[in-house]
Amino acid sequence: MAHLDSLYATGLRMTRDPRDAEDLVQDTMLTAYRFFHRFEPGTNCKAWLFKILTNTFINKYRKKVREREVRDVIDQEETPSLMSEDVAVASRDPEGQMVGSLLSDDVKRALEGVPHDYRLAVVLCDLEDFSYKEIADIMDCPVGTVMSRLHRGRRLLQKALRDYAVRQGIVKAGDVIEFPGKTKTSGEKS
Amino acid sequence: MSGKEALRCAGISRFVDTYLDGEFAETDRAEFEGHLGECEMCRAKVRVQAEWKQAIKAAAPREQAPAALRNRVARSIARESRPMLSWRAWAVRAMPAAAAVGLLATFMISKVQWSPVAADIVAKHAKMTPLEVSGGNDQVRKWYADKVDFPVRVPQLCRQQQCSLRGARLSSIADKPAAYLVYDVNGDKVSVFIFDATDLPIETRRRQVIGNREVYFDQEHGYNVALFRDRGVGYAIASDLDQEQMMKLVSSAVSP
Repeated sequence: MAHLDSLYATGLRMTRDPRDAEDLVQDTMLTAYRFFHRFEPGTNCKAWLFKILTNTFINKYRKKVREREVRDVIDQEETPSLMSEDVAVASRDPEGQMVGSLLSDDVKRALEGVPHDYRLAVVLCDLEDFSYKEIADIMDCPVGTVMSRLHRGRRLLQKALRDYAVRQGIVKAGDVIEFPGKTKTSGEKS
Repeated sequence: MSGKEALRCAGISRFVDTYLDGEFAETDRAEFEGHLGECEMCRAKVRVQAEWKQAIKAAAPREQAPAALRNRVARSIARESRPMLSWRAWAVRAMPAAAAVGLLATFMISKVQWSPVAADIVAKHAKMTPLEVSGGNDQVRKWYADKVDFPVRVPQLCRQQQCSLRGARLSSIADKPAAYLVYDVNGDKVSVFIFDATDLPIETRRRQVIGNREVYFDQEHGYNVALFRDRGVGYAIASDLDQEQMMKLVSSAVSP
C-alpha cells in the first residue's frame, strides 16, 4: 500500500476532515481491489488509484463537504476573490523572504480556502507530481481546464498566503509590487 | 516598452505555469525561453512563480495514513476476498490480515511476484489488436527470432479441423515482452501468449496434469484461461470456448 499516504493526504485536502478522509481512502482501496481486473498493466497505478479516489469523493462525500464549506464561508471572512494575475509577479526581497518561510499550517489553511476543483488541481500537480494529462484523466476534464484550474488555484493560494504574511507583519502590504497595466503601489515607476 | 512587446509579454505570461510544470512541447519551450532571454520582466515572473511552486511543495503538510487506517483497509480487503474462489482469494484468506496488506501492495505495484497473469492476458485477448505477421508456424517462429529473448516454439494447437493460426504480434505480460498468437477455432478467437516465465508465477488453484505436464486453469471475466510451462517458457491460452473444448486445445498443445 505504497500510495496510501498520498491518498490519505489528498483525501484530507479534499474532505478537510480526518475521519472523512479515512473513510474515503478505505472506500477507495476497496473499490480498487474489486476492480483490479480493470487496471491496465503498464499504466500508472498511482493515477488509477487517484481517479478512484476522486470519483469516490464526488459520489459519496462531496455533498457533505460542500454543506460544511458553505457554513465555514459564512463564519470566515470572504473567500479570496480572484486577484489580478500579475500581482506580485516581480517581488523584491520582502516577498522572497516570505516565500522562503512558508509554514506548513499556513499552507494547509490557505489550501482549505481554495475552492475544491482548483485546490485539487494544485494538489495533484504540485504535491503529487502528476502531469496535466494524468490530472485531466483523474478529474475527468480536458487538459485546458486543468491548466486554467491550476492557474486560478495557484493565484488564490498565493493571495491567501500573502494575506497571512501581511497580517503577521512578515511583509508590509506596500511591499507587494504589482505590474504596469494593473494597479500600482509604492515604489513602482513607469 | 513598445505596445507590441507588451502584448507579447502578456501572451507569454499566461504560460508561465505551463513552462514551469515542464508541460511545453520542445518548440514552444524554445520560443518561450527565447523571449525570457530578452525580457527581464518575464524572467522575474518566472523566477517568482518557480519560488512559489517550490516553497509550497516544501511547506505543504504531508500527513501519513494512520496505522488504524492501514489495518482497517487490510481487514476489509481480507473480508472482501473470502467468498471468491480464485487462488488470489485463497492466498489472502490463508494469511493474517497484516500480511495481506503487504501482499496487496506487491500485487498492485510490482505486478510480478503477485502477478495476475490471467487478468493481464484476458484483458489483451478481449481487445482487437492488429496482427504484425501472418503465415504458418515456421514463418511466425522465424519472425520472433530477433524480437524476443526466448525461443518461440509455436504450439501444435491445430490438430483438428477448422482451426488455423491467423497471425501474431509482439505483446507483453507483466511488462515483459511476450509473443501473442491469434488462432481461429470454429470461428472463435483463441489467444496464445508465450513468455519468459522465469519470475512469473502462473500457478492457480485448479491444477491438472495433462500429458505429463502441469496445467493450471483459471477464469477471468467469463473467459477460460489455461497456463503451463515448457522448458522455462510460459504458455497462456485464453478463449471463450467452454471447458471441454479448452481441454482439447490444451491437450493438443502439450502433446509432442
